[in-house]
Amino acid sequence: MEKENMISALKEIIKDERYVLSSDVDLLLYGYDASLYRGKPDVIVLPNTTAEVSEIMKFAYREKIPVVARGSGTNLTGGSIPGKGGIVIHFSRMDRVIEIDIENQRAIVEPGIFTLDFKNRLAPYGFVYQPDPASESVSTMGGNFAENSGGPLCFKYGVTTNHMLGAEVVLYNGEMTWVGGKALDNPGYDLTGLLVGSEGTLAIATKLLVRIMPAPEARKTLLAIFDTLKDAANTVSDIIEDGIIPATLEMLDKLTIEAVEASVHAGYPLDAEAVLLIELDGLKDGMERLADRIIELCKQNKARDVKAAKNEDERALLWAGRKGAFGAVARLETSYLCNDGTVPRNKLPEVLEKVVAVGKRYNLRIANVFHAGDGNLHPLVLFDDRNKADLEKVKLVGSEILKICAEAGGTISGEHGIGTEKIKEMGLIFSDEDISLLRKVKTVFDPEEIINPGKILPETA
Amino acid sequence: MMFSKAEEIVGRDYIINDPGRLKDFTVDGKLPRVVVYPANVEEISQVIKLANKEDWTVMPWGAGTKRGMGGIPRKFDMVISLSRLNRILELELGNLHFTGQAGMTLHEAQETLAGKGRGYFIRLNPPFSKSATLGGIVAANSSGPSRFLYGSTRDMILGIGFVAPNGDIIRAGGRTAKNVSGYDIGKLIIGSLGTLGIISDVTFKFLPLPEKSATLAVILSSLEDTHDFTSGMLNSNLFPASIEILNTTAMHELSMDIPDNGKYVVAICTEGVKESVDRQLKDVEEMGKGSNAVGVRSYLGEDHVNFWESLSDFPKIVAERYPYGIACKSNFLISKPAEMVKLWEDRAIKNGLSCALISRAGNGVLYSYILLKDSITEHLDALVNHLEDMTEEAVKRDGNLVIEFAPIALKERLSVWGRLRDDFKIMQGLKKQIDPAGILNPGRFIGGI
Repeated sequence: MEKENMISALKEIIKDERYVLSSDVDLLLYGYDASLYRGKPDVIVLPNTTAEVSEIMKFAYREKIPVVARGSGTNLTGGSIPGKGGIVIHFSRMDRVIEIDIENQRAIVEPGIFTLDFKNRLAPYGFVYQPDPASESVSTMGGNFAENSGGPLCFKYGVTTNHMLGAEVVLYNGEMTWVGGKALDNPGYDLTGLLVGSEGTLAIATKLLVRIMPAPEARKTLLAIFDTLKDAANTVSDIIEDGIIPATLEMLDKLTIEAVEASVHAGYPLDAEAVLLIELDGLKDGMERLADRIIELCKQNKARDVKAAKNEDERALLWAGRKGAFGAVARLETSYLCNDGTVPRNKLPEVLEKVVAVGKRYNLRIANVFHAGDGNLHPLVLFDDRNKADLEKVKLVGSEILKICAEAGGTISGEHGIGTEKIKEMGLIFSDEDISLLRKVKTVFDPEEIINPGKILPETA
Repeated sequence: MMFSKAEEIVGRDYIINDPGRLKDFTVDGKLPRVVVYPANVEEISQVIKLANKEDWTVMPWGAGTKRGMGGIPRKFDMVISLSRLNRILELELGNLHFTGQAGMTLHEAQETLAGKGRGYFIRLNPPFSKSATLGGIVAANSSGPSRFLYGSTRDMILGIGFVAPNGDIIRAGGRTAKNVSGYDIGKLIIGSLGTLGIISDVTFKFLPLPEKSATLAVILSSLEDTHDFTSGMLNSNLFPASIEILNTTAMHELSMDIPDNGKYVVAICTEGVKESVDRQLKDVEEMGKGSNAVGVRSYLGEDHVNFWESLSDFPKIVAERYPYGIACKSNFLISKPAEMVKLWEDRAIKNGLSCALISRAGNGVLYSYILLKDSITEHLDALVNHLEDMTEEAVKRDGNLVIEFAPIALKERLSVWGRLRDDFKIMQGLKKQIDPAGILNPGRFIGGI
């Protein structure tokens, strides 16, 4: 379809010209996300209601135009890139909290709300929404739904899917339906479970129904400092084997520590090889005993020092280092690739060693920040994106790391998704039969391949 | 024909068609034509491919504890028993994951884990505690009282191996705590009652056994007090493992020793770090007093274990004692359990029915057992009225009503999966795309899928 006709049709639907964007600058800006991939949409539209989203989808389906739903574009694997042009639906106007139902411990929000904003709205009730992706101050609930986002707390509380109970979705043909609901165990196939983490390739969520719960009574935050990465990794295994379930077990390596200290000054020692950020939460009773036991285990693994946050300010500072890690590392080089291969927890030490070796072999610096409690790596491979050769090299490094993870019995994505970036690695963990089943699911939801096409699944031969 | 071709795959010793032995596989009064016992996932795949070619329908079978679930089979040719797939495939203490084949019982898995190192457990306590198999539990999305703290089957599974309706051997998920590679196909399989695939193995997360577990049964004399107490629990920052409301009939079936003015019991299980368990026991008792409790019973050690086992196994007790017993599960908003108990009791009395009621109060689920001993015929109309009524009430509270087992005469007159919702069309689409010939368990799932 002619681009001009597309634009005027969308202006018909939206009624307000300000919310249909198509200038060169807009097309450039919406061709980005946090990955290394770029695309270019034909037009960007910012709907205000589900009914408008439905009209947009009807139009796109009639005209066979690709549609990509987008939140803040924090996606790390190219999931929000309009690789085949078409329409980008940006959800920034649909950012309302529809309902906070304390009595039933549920909330309904629109997809465009920032995760942290939503949590701040819950705080006055003494309630929390548990998932806490590091990007939560800018990432949206819709994006979290699409990616099944994780975060430091998921060692104890699970990932986004464990807290999503339903959604209002617009289907490929513009039809609107609810999946799931406020009550648990609705009979039938678990469509909510299927849609969470489907990277916006099956349907477009316009309302999200989530579980909220009373905030924990107490927290205890510890920072343990190590002279070797291996000691830190072994401590993680020891804590888990000791039967303690912290809410968080996060690890940062030396390069990350340096970057963090240069930017957020979290008080991490510059000469340490690794730090572990450990947080317990729950009832206050017994927490001190567990904290003491954790400190003992850290010391047994030659921790140089273990600091405990004495108040909320100190806790915020320790966390600032972790939450600000990606941003801080970004200051070290013009660009970085972050992948999120995930391995069984006990394979972490050996996998880390191999990752470091890959970086050395390609002569690229790698900063490691990871969810150690979940075996979820985040190697940040630093490179100069103005240098074509480096860009090619970094893709090879990423691919090798994923191969190492797959060989260790792990997987190629713990929480960032497949998107565009990892399609070629799907074969590392899926057989042709597995992929053919995934494709059948895609066909049910999107027979004409217009919803975020070209993602997750390898192109058919 | 069917027999000899299937025999070629599994071998003579692992196939039966003798009517006397087929009787053990009766589902809603129907017998299969043949039962096969494949040795491994490859044999399952071959049998399924054969079934496709010959247009036979296939029903997967673990221990048969869920045979009452679902609609009456539309066509019933072959049972694939998973009983020979009963081995542990992986057990990794360092990663807290356990992979067992589908035919293994959860009980055996738990015994094995309890004996390792400091002692571990899979955080599920579904009904049929001794006999239910891993595959059956997953296929039926079965869970028990402890789901309030730990979540249900869907929160506990890292990976599933299964055979698709075309015979493809599929692996969904893996063994890592987090995994967003490709669509979460495992979620589709959980609770699909064998209509999308035959589960061959399941990978669960597990955890160290808690330092301490204990139970308080808070006895109350009215539903108002019961509501007051349970909603207080839910909105406190205590995290018990289980919050179960029992009515008088349920207490009676469990032979609980309760004073005359005790009409309801709220059983609270708390487990975890010792200090936090002690604190919760104290707080629960206080809260009970605040809600006018007329008594409190404390169960520790064996008593505690036995109490929860018999509560989990309540459907089994009903099935054994009441040949015409009916088990229903309603789901609804979590603030409404006492209200639902009241509706059930009032209408049951009106309809002349005796009901044992157990509500998983923290999860907004009510299990209702209609206790019929001698026959069902004279109650049929009342039952249909009652259940339609109760479905309506659950739907009003954003839920539904599922009949988990019932005599055929009743199943013939009701939709056992409750009211269909808007998203049923998508479910139908999935079934059609994944099992186009409709060979897996036809007729038993929602909307006749």
